Amino acid sequence: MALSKPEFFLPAGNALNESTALSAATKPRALPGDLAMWFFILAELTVFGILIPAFVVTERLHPALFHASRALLDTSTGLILTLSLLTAGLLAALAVEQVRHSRHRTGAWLLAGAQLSASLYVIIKFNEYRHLASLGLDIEYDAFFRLYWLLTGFHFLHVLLGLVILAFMTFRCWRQAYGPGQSSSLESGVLYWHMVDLVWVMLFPLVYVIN
Amino acid sequence: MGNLRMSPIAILIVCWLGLVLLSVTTVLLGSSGSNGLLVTGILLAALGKGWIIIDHFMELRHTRSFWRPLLLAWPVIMAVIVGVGLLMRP
Repeated sequence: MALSKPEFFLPAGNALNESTALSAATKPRALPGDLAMWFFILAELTVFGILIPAFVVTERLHPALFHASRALLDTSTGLILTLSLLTAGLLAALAVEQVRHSRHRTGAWLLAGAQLSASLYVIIKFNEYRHLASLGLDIEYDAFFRLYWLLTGFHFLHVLLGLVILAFMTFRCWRQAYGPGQSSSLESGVLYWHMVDLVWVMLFPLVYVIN
Repeated sequence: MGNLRMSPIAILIVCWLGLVLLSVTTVLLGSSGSNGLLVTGILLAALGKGWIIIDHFMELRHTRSFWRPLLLAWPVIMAVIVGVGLLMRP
């Protein structure tokens, strides 16, 4: 997407305009999305907030086993997975910004781009699962892989649901269903995707990197 | 940059670049060895990423709602649990 200079930078005006713009940028804003989505996000973070300490406690009990098993994972694959999720998050956030300015078609294209990036995650993760399973590193292999499959599998299901939500929002955005001041449901859907990103940001170093 | 201020679009793109940088840094730190300092660095990078996602992507930066501290607390609590769990001697 080509961004012209006026879109990338806010134009400078006189001192009064700049002051007004500054106060608009810093004044308190309403909570984006629906309140129900925030409670849903809180519930999801609580579940992962139980699973992550369970991983840490088990690693504490079996440090050598976790060290050896983690070495069987490819960190560069984890990095690509991370970048695909974060890129999808960026494109979804940009789509919200476009819809707020009534650029629905651009918003729909950005959401489609987010789906594409998220699909890359799904394909790579699925291939990783298939590769690990072919090596016999399944959920019954050891304590590390039991928690690896549980944690990342649960997260993977969230990504799949996120993809469905993104597809639904793309369709609605293309049909210009989000009118002025009616982007709350779009914001809620995108918030869900950012929650999926937030959880992965903690899972990635824990599962793939820290040894 | 003169008198020009960054638009919300520009801020989001800069945030994404920060997330990419922190992700690459995480992998580089992880491949450099395994001591307490490196683990702390990796956890700080994860905290930085969490902060960017919550404040900028989730747009909680300018809200006065209790949801902002609540969400910001989640990566902090997780990082503390991971840090204490993996770094403290038995």
